[in-house]
Amino acid sequence: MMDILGSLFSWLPVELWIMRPELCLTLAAFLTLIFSVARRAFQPRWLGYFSIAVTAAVGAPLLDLFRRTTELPGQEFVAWNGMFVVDSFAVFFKVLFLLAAILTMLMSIRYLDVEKAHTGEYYALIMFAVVGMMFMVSARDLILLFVGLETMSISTYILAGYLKRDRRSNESALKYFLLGSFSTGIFLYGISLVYAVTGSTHLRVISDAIAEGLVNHPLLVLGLILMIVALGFKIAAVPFHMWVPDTYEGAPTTITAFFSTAVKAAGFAIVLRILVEGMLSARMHWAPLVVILSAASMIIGTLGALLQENVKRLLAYSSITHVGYLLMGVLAVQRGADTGARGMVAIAVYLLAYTFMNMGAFGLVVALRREGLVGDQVDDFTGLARRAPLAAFSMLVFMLSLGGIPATAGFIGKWYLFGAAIKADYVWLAVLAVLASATSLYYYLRVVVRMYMGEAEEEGGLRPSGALASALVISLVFTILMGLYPQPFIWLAQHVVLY
Amino acid sequence: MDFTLLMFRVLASAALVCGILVILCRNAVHSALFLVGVFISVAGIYVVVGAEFLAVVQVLVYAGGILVLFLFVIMLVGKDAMVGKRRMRLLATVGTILIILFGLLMAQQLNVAGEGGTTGPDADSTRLGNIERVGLALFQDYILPFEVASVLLLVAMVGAIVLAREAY
Repeated sequence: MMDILGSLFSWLPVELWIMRPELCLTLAAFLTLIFSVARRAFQPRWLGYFSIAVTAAVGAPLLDLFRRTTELPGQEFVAWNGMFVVDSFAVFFKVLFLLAAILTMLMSIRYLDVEKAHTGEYYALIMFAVVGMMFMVSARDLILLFVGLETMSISTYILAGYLKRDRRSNESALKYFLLGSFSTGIFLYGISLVYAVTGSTHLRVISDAIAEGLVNHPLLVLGLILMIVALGFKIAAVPFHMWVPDTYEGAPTTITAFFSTAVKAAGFAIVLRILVEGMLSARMHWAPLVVILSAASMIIGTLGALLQENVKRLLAYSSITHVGYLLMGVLAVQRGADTGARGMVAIAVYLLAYTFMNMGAFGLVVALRREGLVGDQVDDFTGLARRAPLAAFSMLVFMLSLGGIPATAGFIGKWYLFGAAIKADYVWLAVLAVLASATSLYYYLRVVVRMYMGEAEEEGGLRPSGALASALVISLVFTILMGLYPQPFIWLAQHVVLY
Repeated sequence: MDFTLLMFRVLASAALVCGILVILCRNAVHSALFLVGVFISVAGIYVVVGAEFLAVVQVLVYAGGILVLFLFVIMLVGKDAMVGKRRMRLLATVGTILIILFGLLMAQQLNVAGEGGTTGPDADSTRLGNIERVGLALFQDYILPFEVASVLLLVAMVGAIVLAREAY
């Protein structure tokens, strides 16, 4: 099977051959756009199924590339003047994006009908966002990285405001767009300063220039700080998190799920690319900043989530806390020791677990949505266990996993991250993380208690569409599987190392 | 002091003064006009360092295109829709102070930095014309970002249409 698919693309020159996933996905997005013009002939629902099928099919060339890049440690394909690189790091993240995109689109089909905003462009925009992310994680040049980042950002700005009749969606998109454009400007400013000092936008050249004695150049440090500020916005770390609760609450729930998994993973991928591949020699300058971001995110995220009555806001604050945990993995990356690899592997494991459990949690919020009920209040979950025992059970699993209870995916992720932080001598940060995750159990369990202890005001179970149900089942199975038998996932994540 | 440095100082201070006036002006139209001043001063700096093509593009795209768009938006929205006056003045003051602080910081850093890591124009710069070099960079060295940027622009256009058209 692989051979047939391989020969299908064998005529391509190698520069394009390693870009098969990006090319296929771009083409599919174009087709979806063209089809969506003819609304009568091609119902949006069918365009949705088409997009899901194509996105899943793109997995085949990706797996092929994964096999080839993991044959030898450090194996990579480089093209386009060294700008575009396919290594196991990039391929892992691309698989993660596809996974998140597929789950998002599965959840969207019925949801968009209920919201009366079902058009084909929605799926095209998700695919364009994924294309942007793919270029981001494969970029070894800051210009390509920036263009990919913007492709992703602009698609997501629009998706956040997709429910045009909903004032909250408008507000969400506007806040996201305004703050996002500012952070884009700051990022560019940072790039230009780094370019002014090192004379290049290529990460390897920058890395060499820094190692050769530009470490303490004041403009380089200033550029680095500006880039960290902008990246902090993209991954939603405190104190650049102000947009998160409103944007997450107002955006369509499916898109919120996409934000909190794929977009965040892409942000962490470029944080690692820039800080580790480009700026590892300047670690003494960025590490203190990352420590502050990490500690502040854990504290503010946990405190903010405690009193939320809206599940989407609750999950927004909880995602800020999770960013704090993940930043510990970035800190664990150090030169020379094998702790470096440990930090990156921990981030990969955690992002994998986080994708499944967070998608699942948002999927339940989507399942509650129907005519006349938004379904994003904690109260809407009251008594769900009696109405829909299976749905309540999966929400229980997702909440426990987010809280990091053993035998769930979240526990494995936290185990690796906290371990990496301790090995890297950030013990106090790990202690803070444990305290934060113990506190976070309170607000996760609050939802569970309402579901199992409360009396439902209405009768009748949930009737999720087949697509949504399958997305929920996939998330549930992987969340449990990863908790009970994590070895294959850890094996996968062990390839996420930058050389 | 040689002529290039003198021109740079004049143009840079003009850009700074205009930039501060952009945020200090109460009237949004005046702000927009001072923004033209910023753009033209920056274009002048491009000419001084020998990037004539960039200078022309700067004037065409920013002063010509983007600014006209700004003025249209100000006209359509009306200046009454702006933030309350007192708050506006506070924000403008804070903004100015921050800009001056940042400028001082940069100036100090630049003095410290001296000639350290900055790179001069490469050997090719004298042989090839300005536009040729931009073209070569764009279509040879940076062809991939250039192509991805076309996807980016398409997404922006599709997005504008999706958000602006009538809801079904």
